[in-house]
Amino acid sequence: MTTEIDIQHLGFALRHVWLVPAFPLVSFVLVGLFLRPLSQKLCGIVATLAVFSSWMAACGIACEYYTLCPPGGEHPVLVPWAFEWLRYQPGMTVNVGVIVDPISVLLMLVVTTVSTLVHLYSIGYMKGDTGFGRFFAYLNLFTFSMLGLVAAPNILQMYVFWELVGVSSFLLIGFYYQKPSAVAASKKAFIVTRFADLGFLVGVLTLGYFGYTLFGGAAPAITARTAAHCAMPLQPFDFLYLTSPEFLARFGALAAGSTGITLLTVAMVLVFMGAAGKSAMFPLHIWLPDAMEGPTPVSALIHAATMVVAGVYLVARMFPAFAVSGAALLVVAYVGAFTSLFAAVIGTTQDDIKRVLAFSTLSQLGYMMLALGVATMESPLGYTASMFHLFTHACFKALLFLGAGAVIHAVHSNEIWDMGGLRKKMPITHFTFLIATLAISGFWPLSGFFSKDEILAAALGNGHYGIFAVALFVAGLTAFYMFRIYLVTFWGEHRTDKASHAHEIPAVMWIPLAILAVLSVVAGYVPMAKFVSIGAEHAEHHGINFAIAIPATLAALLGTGTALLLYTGSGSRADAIARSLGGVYTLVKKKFYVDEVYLFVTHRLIFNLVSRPIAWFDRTVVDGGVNVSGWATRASGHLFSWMQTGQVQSYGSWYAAGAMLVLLVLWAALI
Amino acid sequence: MIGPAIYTVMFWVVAASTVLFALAVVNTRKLLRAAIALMAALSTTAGFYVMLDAQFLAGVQVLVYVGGIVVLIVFAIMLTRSGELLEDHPTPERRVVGAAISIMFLILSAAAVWVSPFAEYSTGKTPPNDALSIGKALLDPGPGGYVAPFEVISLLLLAAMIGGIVIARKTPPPNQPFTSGGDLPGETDVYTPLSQRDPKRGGPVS
Amino acid sequence: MNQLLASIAAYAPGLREWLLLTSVIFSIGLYGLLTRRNAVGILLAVELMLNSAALNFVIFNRFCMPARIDGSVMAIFVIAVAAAEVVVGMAIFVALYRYRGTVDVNRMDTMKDPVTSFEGPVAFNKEVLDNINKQYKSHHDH
Repeated sequence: MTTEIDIQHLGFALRHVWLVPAFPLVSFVLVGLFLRPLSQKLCGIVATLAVFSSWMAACGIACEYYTLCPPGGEHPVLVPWAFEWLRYQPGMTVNVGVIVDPISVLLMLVVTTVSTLVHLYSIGYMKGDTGFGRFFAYLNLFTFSMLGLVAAPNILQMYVFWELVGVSSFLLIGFYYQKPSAVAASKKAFIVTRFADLGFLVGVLTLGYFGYTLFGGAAPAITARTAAHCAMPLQPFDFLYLTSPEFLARFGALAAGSTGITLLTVAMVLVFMGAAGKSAMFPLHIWLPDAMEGPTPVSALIHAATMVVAGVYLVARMFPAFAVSGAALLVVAYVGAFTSLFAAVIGTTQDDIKRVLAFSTLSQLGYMMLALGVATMESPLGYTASMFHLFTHACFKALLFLGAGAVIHAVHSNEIWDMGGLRKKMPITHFTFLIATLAISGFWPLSGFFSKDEILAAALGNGHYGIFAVALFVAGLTAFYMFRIYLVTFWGEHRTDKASHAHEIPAVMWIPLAILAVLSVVAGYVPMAKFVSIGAEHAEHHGINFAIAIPATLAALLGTGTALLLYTGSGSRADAIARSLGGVYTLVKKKFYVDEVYLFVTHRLIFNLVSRPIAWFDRTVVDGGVNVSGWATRASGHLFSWMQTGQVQSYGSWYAAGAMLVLLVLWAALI
Repeated sequence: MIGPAIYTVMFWVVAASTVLFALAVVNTRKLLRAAIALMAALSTTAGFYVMLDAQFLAGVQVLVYVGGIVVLIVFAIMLTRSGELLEDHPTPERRVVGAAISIMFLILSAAAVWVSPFAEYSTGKTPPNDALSIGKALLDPGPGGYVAPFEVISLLLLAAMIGGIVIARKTPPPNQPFTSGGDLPGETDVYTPLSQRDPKRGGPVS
Repeated sequence: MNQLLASIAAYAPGLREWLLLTSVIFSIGLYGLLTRRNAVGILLAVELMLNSAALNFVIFNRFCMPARIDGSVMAIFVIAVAAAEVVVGMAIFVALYRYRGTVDVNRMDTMKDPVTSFEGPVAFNKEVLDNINKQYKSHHDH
């Protein structure tokens, strides 16, 4: 039981939580409108300093929050700052504010940390680019939007910022807008995520509608767990309201028609559709590999560490609702597990270094989703594990992308077969990339080992043996494809001239790499269960469970060994296996033809059966109507054109006659 | 009794002559005659002012209207050589339409005058309608005073004077024709002398 | 004799008679405004109308509030406006006459599109535009 906390007793950072998103917003306006034409250096420094200030504010919030509610104890929810935004009717208001609870604090830290490092890195990476200032303005916009999303205390604010991160992602994927492929990729990302957000919006409106009607406009009594301090009274769109046991008990009892599915499940699956779009779950994953058209720092920040985990964050936020539905949680688990496997399989065959990392991101996001899916309110280890993995993954995946960016910067190619032998040319990049590869593969004592271990333990602990097996297999695959690109890129001979003339990156670029490498090593030692948990029981994963750690390490070793066997020395062994697999290899290499299926559905079916009739209707009926009205106007004008004599005196006569008519009418009306 | 009778006779006689002069203004074919008729009509109006106890106004009417404005109009007639030409008759349709509209207007206004109850107020008190009180009213800045309209009117007169000079000036400043595009081509041309123009299009003979 | 004078005085003009007189003058001016072909003639008609309006002010002053002089002041303003109007009007007519060789308002009809067929205006405007462009070009060449 937590008691109400008085706002006056909160520390400075908690009283001014709005500072966290405010810094990047101010910098966005400043850089985007004023500094951009002045100086590249100034743009980069201002943008980076703004995000750094944001990071300091986030650190302050974290310190004060965990001083207030020490780790291991209760984690109440605070909304220290909010203001009324939309008032539909009494009892139906939408506020804008900042929520402070374990997962939002965690996400704020992750976002600001990675964003600061990526900003710093970009100063070197984008040096001399004509769109330098534009790039930093967009990055600031993204950071602002992401922080607003993370801080959202209600689902409508989250939806707004959800779309804002979508816009910034769109702008940054299409950053090189002269390139047709970048334009196509940005459009694809926007359309696919928008399509998914349609489901999200319907889900949001369903929840808000029932949140209002089920209680007749009065907020249900909030349990002690949830709120310690709220700046504004709870409203139907607030997360605290939507996840309160009172609301879920009533809403969960409503059936959707006669199907036997509860309305809650329908609503949560719709919300998950939005989450799946943003987090690129199968079958909405197609935009993420193409999104690699954007500059590499963008891929590191948006499409690996932060924006794509928004879906995971959303599911975690709404976790009590998913847990009550049960069926929706299973959907999350199975979609996550399938995506994880599917993406890992494709990742083993791709040749573009960023694409392999993109599929790896998909796979790891699937991991996080499945961890959430296997958790329950009674045994919530998966919830903690998912957040833990989100945290560690942000560190090592950002590191991998930034390392890949450094390599691409040096070699001017994305193809791993154009690289090779970069170990000696770029020692710092090589070393940090190796750390990240080991971390993602799950080797002790790096961070990935601990978080993966916790996910596997959660799956096994709640009896999801199939999912456990899949996750174990994916762990092996992950090690295989990561060592594949690592070996091909950094070992062996220089395959091209450019690779032989590669140089180490400047300090402004390798310092972020070094920081992320340190984080990737130590992140696993954070006792995450003490900081992030849900439900009454503190499901803690004590120490190392050898029943899980040994098979996981074995799987990773097996994957690594296979990669070493196939990709050291001449590449003939890998080619031989690829040839012997034949059609299966082509199928995987072509990403299971998912894009082609989409193209068939959209171009052939929808285009021919829906768009063409609509176009015909538009051209004949709608345009026809417009033409008829235009023709009628001209015809009536022609009919009366004799009145238009050009003689001022005939106009005068008309005027005098009309004036007298008006006079008569007025007279008749007034007397 | 002789006073009112003379007054009445004078009114009707002067009114009838004013109407006749007015008809002459709008109907004579020679414009110079029309101008003379206007002068006569304005002079009889000055007589009306005297009959309405506005002697000062009658003086102003003669000085400004008859002495100034009519002279200006005569100038206009001379400068446009309208006096030398016999005015073309308007087309019959236009005459009919004009007559119909003006008669309709007359009927309408006469009806309005006839049915409206006016708050007539005749104490027989002599109004202070002399130059002194008019001058005081014109320069009175207090409530009911006319100093602001007076200033505005003086500005208007100044603007009209400058405008008249600018518009009637013979040559425009170089490269700045008064009429911009949108008219017939010839009308943008202000450089070609009149004698060299195509009379139909107004532009230079091509 | 006195009786005769009295019967004549019985026809003394009241407010209505005065107003009727100005209405007649105004209507005559209106007729002139609508029928005169010469622009200066129109100016004359306008003067007639303005004059009758000024007279109306004085009449109302005399009959409705004889203790004040507002009507006279207004009449002075009307006269001033008429003077301004004549100055500008004369300047315009002189300029017009210089450019077009006439002040016949029947020939001032360029506001009317001379071609009235359905597809006409576009073609006509194109021709006009070309003409204007050609003229301006020759101006600048000089």
